[in-house]
Amino acid sequence: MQVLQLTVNGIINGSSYALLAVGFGLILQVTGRFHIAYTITYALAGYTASRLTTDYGASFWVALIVGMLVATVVGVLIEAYIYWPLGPRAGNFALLAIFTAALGLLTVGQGALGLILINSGTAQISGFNIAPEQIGQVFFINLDVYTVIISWALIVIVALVLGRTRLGRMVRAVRSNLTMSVAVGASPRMIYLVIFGIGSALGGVGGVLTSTKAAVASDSGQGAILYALTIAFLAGTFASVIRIAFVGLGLGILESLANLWVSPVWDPVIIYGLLLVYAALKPFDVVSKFRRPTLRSASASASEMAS
Amino acid sequence: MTLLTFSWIDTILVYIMFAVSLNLLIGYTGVFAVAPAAFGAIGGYSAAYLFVNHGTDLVIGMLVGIVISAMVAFLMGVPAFRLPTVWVILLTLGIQQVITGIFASINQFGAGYGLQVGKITFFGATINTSTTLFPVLLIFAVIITLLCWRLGESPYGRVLRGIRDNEQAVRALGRPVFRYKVAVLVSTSVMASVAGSMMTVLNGVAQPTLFSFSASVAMISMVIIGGRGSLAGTLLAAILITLLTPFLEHVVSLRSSIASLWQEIIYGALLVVIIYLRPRGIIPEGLIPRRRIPLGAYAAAESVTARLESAAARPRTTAIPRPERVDLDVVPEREVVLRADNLYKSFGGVHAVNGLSFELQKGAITALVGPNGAGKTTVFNLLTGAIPVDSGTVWLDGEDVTGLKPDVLARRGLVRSFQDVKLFGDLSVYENVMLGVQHHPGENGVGLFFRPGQSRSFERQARERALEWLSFVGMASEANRTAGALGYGQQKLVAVARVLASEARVLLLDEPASGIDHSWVDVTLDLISEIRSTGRTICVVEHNLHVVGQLADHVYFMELGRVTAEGGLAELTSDPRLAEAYFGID
Amino acid sequence: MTTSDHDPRLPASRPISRRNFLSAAGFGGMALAASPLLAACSTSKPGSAKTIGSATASAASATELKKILDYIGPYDPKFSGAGTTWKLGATLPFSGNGSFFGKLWQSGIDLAVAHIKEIGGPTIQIVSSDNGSGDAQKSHNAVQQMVAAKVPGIIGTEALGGVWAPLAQYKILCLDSGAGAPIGIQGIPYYYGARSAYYSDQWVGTLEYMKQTMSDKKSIVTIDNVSTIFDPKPALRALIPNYGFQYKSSVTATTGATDYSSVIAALHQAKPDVIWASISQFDIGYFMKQYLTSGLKAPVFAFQWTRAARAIAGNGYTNQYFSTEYLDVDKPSNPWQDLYIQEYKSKNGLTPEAYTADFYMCVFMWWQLMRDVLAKGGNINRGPDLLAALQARPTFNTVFGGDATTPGLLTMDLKTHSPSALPQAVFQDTGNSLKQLATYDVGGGNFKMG
Repeated sequence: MQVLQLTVNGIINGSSYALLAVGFGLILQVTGRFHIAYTITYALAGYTASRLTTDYGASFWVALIVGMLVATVVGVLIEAYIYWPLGPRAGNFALLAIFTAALGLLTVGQGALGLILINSGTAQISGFNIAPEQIGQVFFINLDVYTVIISWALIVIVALVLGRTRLGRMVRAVRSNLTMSVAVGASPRMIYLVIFGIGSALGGVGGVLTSTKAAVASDSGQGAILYALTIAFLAGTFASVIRIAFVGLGLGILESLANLWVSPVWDPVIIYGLLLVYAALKPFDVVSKFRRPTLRSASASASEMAS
Repeated sequence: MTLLTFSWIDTILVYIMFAVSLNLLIGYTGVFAVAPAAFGAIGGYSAAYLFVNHGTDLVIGMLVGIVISAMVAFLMGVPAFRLPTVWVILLTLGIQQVITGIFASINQFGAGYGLQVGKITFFGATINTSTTLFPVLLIFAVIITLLCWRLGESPYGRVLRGIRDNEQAVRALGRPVFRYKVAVLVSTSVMASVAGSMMTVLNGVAQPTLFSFSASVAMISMVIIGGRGSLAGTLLAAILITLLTPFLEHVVSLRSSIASLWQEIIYGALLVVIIYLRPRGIIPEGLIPRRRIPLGAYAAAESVTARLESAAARPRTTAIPRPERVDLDVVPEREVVLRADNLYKSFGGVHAVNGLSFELQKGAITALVGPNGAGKTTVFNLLTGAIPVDSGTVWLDGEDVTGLKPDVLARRGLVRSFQDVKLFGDLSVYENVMLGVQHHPGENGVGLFFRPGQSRSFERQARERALEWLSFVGMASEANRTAGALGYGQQKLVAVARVLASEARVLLLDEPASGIDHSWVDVTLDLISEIRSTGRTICVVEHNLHVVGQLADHVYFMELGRVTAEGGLAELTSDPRLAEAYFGID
Repeated sequence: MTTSDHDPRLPASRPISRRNFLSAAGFGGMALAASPLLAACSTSKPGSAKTIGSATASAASATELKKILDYIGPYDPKFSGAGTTWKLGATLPFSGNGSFFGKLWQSGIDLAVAHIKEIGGPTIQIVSSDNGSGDAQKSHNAVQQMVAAKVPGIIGTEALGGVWAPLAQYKILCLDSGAGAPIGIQGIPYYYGARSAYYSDQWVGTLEYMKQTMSDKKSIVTIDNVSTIFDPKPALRALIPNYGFQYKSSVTATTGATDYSSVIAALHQAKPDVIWASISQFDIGYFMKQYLTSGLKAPVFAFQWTRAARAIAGNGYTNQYFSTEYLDVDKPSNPWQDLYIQEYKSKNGLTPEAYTADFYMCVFMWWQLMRDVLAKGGNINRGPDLLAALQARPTFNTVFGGDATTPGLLTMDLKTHSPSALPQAVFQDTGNSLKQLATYDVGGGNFKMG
């Protein structure tokens, strides 16, 4: 029974991880930015929703949307006014320079949130009537259901937009070859902003949903970003949105099921320990021996070779 | 409150140990590892655990930490460096979480409160006061800085910076990149472990927060803000960033409990501002120029401009004078240096190379021509071992060399150039060429530290040779410039000099004349025929039929991954099918 | 480092208004950039102050305050320290996830400093420094700053981040009213817990209460953090059966966790009759919030009640039990407590909580040590003299417990360095107040229902 309960917990948390990892991963893949200030947009969305619901009596859903929009705007502004101008000036140092700028932003953001919350410690998002749900012996809350549905709906929408639309083609063009993409009519700057917008929006929704279950604190999202980063890398820097999402879901389930044997304190050790084992075996091709080669992986390896 | 109390100086010294060694990895080698604090934890907890449970002296604890760190780093490096670079980030992140997670969760390690080492001894003497601790920290900081300086600013460091700028090119020039990376990771981790032991002694406690991911991130930011590959920058950044906290406490002394938060906000904002103003670091690499070499007589050597002028003066139609026209059909018994037998390579369903066989004859120029996608560059990759063959054999001097790695083959005398040049952009022109020179004793740790005299004298010779080759290609006067600042044509010439400096017997030149200005083409042609006259065996992949016609003694025509015709260019162009399909001659 | 000598006209911890914030910060130029932030500050409500108590009290007159002199035990005005400016250190969590608590605790310290000055004591100058919420490096820096500032004593928190070695080395006496001195970190030279040892001091009293009121309940599951070198499980396994309960299992939660789904899954599996949640600060709030909708009904005993955690948990706190220092804001148990509650409300606009009162008390403990040193002709700026005073008279009157006429008593155990007597109580959160159910002393002595 506990297996079932933990699996459900894993699906719930894994869906949040998936959402954040897709947002973070998109930014990483398309722009190559190590955007650890993602945490800020996450926490800010939660804080916005909290103010709207507690001080202005806004409905939860309005707060969710406004929180998402605030995250989007802040993410886009960070890209437009900090990362983008820094990129060309840093040249081949761009990755490191932007990482440091992101680190600075993260520190500023957490300090500012600490100041804002100095008299209350945390901020709550009200307006959502959390109620218990039960199927057989498995317990969860109504918010969990919304979290799973909203997360996957957004993931699928993003996947469709990237896979099926002209915008998506341009994003892929920018991702695979920045210089050439200009030739097919993409404006890298615009695409970067759009990607930061989409990524931050997903982070914002994640921030509001998670903060509704817990609360907004100055270090909100700090743990989540580490997971998002891990998932994005684990899925691979050329991974599709859906693949990232499933890796996130898998990680959530794995983390939860690990509690069958050990206490949650060991979660990071287990998760990252497995990651180490996986990585240690990867070059020796243990994994692919059990998998029939596919055209996709072959062409990916070919492009790796060619580069 | 004075800003510079002993305690802050001590803290700076410990951060210098971490940051300077990390710069060797991130800044010099370009390996973005994010777990210096985790290796610090190994050193710190080794010392603390042994002291708490057995009263062990710090020296022993440090040594145990060093051994464990070296093993962990080795075990991590071996898989990580066989995977795409992002895996290094992921693996180091994993190591960081696992190591601090273990220490934070086990009661024997003191869990949250950590292990107390207040009265730990170092060679029998207690070092728990500023006056006793400071000299120890100073000595270790100086040793680590000197070690990193020696490793980084030496022939060894030149290889590392080469790896950072272009790994593939370093490998093609005969350096075992993988071994270098593992060695640097292990060295850095060992130094971080020592720094971690010191961090523990400084704080009187080994505690998870000392070695958390945010501690690692602070160390990384010191390297980046200091300037990648800049030792002086890292030192300055370690000092500035550590002192920023007491400075802000001094300046932003609000009379309330919110001062610390304001200090954090300002600290973060300053990071953004500094990196915005100095994106390559406060003392970027190259600001303090590395040794400029005296050009001496080479300054007056015939420059590229002179060569260009002579090339321009020559009537276009005239063939380049060649010292010795080789007619392969007439001399069939000429020695075969390199032979490819029935090579196959496919990517997924695409047969890039499909049963290819050909040979290179000693002292001759052989050209591989064919339409785009015929697999010409793949052939070079297969011959040099850059990618493994599916089947088939490569013979070099009659020996089967199939499956050998590019660096091994390069050391055996098979060196290639790249169509897209692949110069080391942040290295000077002469350093680029010096990386072509083989068998430098200063490029391995033993030679560097134990035979410094030998290394120094070889360095002088290598520099001399680099200048010779640069003057051969007419670039000696540019020797001290940063390679990345040169024009494309000049870069191609430097790349040729770099390949020549390897003194390899067989040169594979990938489109030496592509993408450069017309006037440079003749200069390049001149050069290649001069090289042939030195007895080298040359294979060129080339699109430009003018080039092929001028140079090649023998031509192979490739289509769909195999040779479909061979002979002199004249013969091939007279084949009506080829003429129509490829040469565009009606 | 921030130095705050108290100015009675400007309580350092009153809720920030936009104006005093700016003037205090002295960052006119930053106002523009920070304005959204400041707007947020000026309108945010301090916690959910409305839930429990309200801030309508008025400040006590000087005469009323003077009564404190009657409460603090033997007092000789000759050695009051009047006219002296005395420097003491405080390491508080001003940054990191506990920054909220740093400011709150400082309010307890500031009130005591003001009271002591007002009733004829010394001007106590608090040299406070940030410990980064238990970050070892920041704690180390904080302690080093105390060394540099040459303070003879420190009001400690978060167990000083484990940075204890410099205390004995530089002979600085530390009274920790944030973490106390729980089992595992007891007997450290110069380090004393100035509050109950979290949370083993509450075990026996709580079990006694359960024995008397919950005879239908059998099994207990505990939730704790791995944050000490001390594993409580063996001691609990031995203790609990003595009160007719069964110690079923223990679930370890990550310190600072906000998601308790795995903990709750483990509770579903264990199906205990009673849960002991030995987790603190915000963590207990997050747990209670998620426990409320978990489908589990077992009563929860926690060992810390803070308004901030309650704000997170909301109704999750209602009807749950809290076994903690004996401060009853609805029915003050002694006149000093009454005065403290009125004063705190008037200065801070908030109902005080036991945790903050620990810090208020700590300053009074320091004053007693100072008076004793002066009476003996010692040097109040020397740690060893203060330590000798503590060892000579390790009893302190306290705002906690007591009766209608007498304050409670804190007795320091000179071996463990943790109080051997300090009044505690079991409270139940009723949704709008804390109802006192039973009282006891640390270790479970003097247990009384009601």
